Amino acid sequence: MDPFWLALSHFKRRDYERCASLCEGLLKQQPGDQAALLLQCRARTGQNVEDDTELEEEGVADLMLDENAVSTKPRPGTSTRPTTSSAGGVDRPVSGYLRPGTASRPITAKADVAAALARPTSTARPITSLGRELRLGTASGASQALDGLFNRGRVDATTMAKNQAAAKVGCDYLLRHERNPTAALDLCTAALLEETRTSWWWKYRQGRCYYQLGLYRDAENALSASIREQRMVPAVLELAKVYLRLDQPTAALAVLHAALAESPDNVRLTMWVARVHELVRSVELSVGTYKKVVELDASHVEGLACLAASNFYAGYPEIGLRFYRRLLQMGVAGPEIWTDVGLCCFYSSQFDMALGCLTRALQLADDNPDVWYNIGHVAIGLGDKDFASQAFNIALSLDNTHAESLTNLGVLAIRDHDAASALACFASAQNHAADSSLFQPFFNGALVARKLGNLKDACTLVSKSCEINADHPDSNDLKKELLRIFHIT
Amino acid sequence: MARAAYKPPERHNFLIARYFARQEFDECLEVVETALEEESGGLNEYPLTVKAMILRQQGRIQESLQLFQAATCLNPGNIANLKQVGHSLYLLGKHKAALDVYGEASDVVVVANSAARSEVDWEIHHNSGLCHAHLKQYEEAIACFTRANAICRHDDTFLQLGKVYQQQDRHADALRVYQDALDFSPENPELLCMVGLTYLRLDDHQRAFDYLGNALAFDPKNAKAILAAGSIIQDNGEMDVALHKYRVAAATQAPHSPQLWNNIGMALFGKGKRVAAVSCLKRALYLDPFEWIIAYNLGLVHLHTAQFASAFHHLSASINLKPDYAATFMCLGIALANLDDPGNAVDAFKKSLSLEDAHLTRLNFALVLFNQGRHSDAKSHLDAFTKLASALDATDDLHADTFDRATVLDSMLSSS
Repeated sequence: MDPFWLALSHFKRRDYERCASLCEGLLKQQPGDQAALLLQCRARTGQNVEDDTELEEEGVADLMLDENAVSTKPRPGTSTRPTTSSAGGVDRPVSGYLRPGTASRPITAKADVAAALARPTSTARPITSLGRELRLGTASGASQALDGLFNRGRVDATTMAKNQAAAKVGCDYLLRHERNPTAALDLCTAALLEETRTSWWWKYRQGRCYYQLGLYRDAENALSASIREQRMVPAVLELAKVYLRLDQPTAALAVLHAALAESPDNVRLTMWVARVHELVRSVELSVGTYKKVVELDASHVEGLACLAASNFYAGYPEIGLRFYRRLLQMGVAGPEIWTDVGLCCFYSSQFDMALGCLTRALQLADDNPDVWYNIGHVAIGLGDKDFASQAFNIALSLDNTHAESLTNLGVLAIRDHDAASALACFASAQNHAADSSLFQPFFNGALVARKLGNLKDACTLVSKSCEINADHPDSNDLKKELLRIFHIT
Repeated sequence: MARAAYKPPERHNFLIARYFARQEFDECLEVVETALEEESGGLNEYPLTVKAMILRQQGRIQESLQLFQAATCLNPGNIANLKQVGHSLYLLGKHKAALDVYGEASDVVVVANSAARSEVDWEIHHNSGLCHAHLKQYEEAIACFTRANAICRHDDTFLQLGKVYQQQDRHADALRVYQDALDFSPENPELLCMVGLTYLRLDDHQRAFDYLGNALAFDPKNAKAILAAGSIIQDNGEMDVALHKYRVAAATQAPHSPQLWNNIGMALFGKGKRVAAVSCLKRALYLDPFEWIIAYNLGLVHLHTAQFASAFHHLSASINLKPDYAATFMCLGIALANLDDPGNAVDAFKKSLSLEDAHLTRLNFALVLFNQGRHSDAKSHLDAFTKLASALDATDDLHADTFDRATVLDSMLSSS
């Protein structure tokens, strides 16, 4: 059988590894074989495809070193940055709450990890998104020496750009496999000088190169130009991503809506609209859009998960349960889903089911402190204090910085009239909760301190609680009362 | 040679006093700093005191205490400073140390006023009383408060005294204190509210309602008074009025109060809106999962909606939290009987009867036994019911349904 034909067949079946190795063999026999070279490029590119339209979580480093935001104090509703005053009360933790879409895709995540372990060029998601590109680049630097398909010392960008079809393959190869946006950018620029018919394609790639290099303004220009020529969904999504990076969610929404006017039933565009709404915390709009997503694609995992979570937090656990059940039916099963199902059961007062689901979650998660914490909650609901404190203790033994469990242990200690150990629990919870949106340890600590007569500590703690959650009426009342005592002399 | 003009060290004091009185603390602190720097290296009593006061208002009690102590060192005879030191110690929760300081202060007062011994400071006694109350030395606290009141009467002293009595469950004494206080200041809503609540504890609902109404007239947004008044209205069966009251409280004062949501839930239940009642009660339970009565109420509502499994869960949770309430066991018995577990149902009824021999328990027990076909046992319990219920007014609407059922059961028992 002709090895090239076989390689093509493997490529069609997306068996990229075999395709590439066959091409490798062909190239050894005949180093000048253009067809084999291109096929191998495409195979290598195919191996490294990841969803660029995915929402990227900004890491801590990105936030700290961010110089792109236009305004440091944006008007409400025009920024994705959390503001302290917009905390939505106790009902829905805003910043302490993971996006269900990313949390509930364990299958793909696992595949990612497996693939990352198998391949030398790791695609496991690191903490900073830009860091990811850089790290991926360094990782593949090693493999470059191995195959060195496009030896750019020999073939320069201008020559390569002459052959458009080959250049496109080369560009994608540079971007995806070699993670070398600088070289890809050279190629794009050269190609744009050569040809005008498909320049939107090159401009889109140019935008992506700029994005990966962190030049967001240039990326915006290139992508807008590309969209002006030919409106393609991926380009629109890329532009929206750039705008989010610049902290301009309103501009992102405008681009998305313009694209939606042309293709109103596009799931990916609708999904992105919903995500942006959620990022700027206009929950109702985002829920409405998620509903539309699910209408368009009844088995859209992220849409279903978001709808389930929002229903749960809106006080309709039964309806949330139905969405989660649908997810389970679709085969998305992970500890998170089972925990959520368990909590939905618990809040629709089906306690026996709740414990069953949480046990399932434990089996899948291999002893996760969060799951044990939720089991503790169910135990409190059953009125079984010993079971509850045992569950919280297990959660702590798995993760001794689990602030929520510490807080609840403190509350249980108050129930046993053990103020000293309650204070100790709250104090260590306060230490561990320093960077999260947890105000409860501070408020509870203040209550205990006031009860013991230590009004000064009470005031310090309650002030901290008010700082974290300005909308908590009980904290505000306590603070007012304490300040009144200080004023009367 | 011109001699430098003499600058009196107290020349800043008027400015400090003025800024302090106008609560312009930042400007005040600036002047205090200059005064302390220019004069005698920080040894200046008045600026020190004012700075300490400002720091206390900002919640920096520890620093404030040090400044007050410094001021006391400068002028040991000044009682005002000593009192502030004591108060700071009290705010820091060091009650014993505070008491020592107050003892010292009253010694100074006695020395200063050796001619007229009775002229002592009420504030010292009041604050010592607070410390004693925190140390749970109730008798001393009561003595201190009474002495403070003998010198000069204050609402605050009355309220604290009443609180001490209530902590000892001496409600009648507390009531007497509050009444005295009302003679002194009849329009204090806090006092009126406390009187109302004390009457409520003494089961005098009519008077309690009068005082709570008065309290609400002076302070229509007092959450405590609204809740108490609403519960009395609710007891009288006027659910709509009670709900109207609660709406004010829920909207403005205490949206996170589990007691309030519990009462709203039960008011809705009284109107027959069971689904709304369940969601309100669930909210209450979410806010305070340790409150047994909310779990009990949820169980009760679930019994009425014929969701016996849910009722069972909530009732058992309630029993876990409070194992000595007879009615919970009765409801548990009903739930178990409906869940086809006759053995445990009978056990639950027996447990309930061992806690309290109530007529409703007897009647429900009789009904359950009758449904199990144990007619003679049912008969004996029905007889016990009749005996217990003879004290009740059969014409009252509240009991009409109970008596109807008893009659039906009686006729069925005699016909079988």
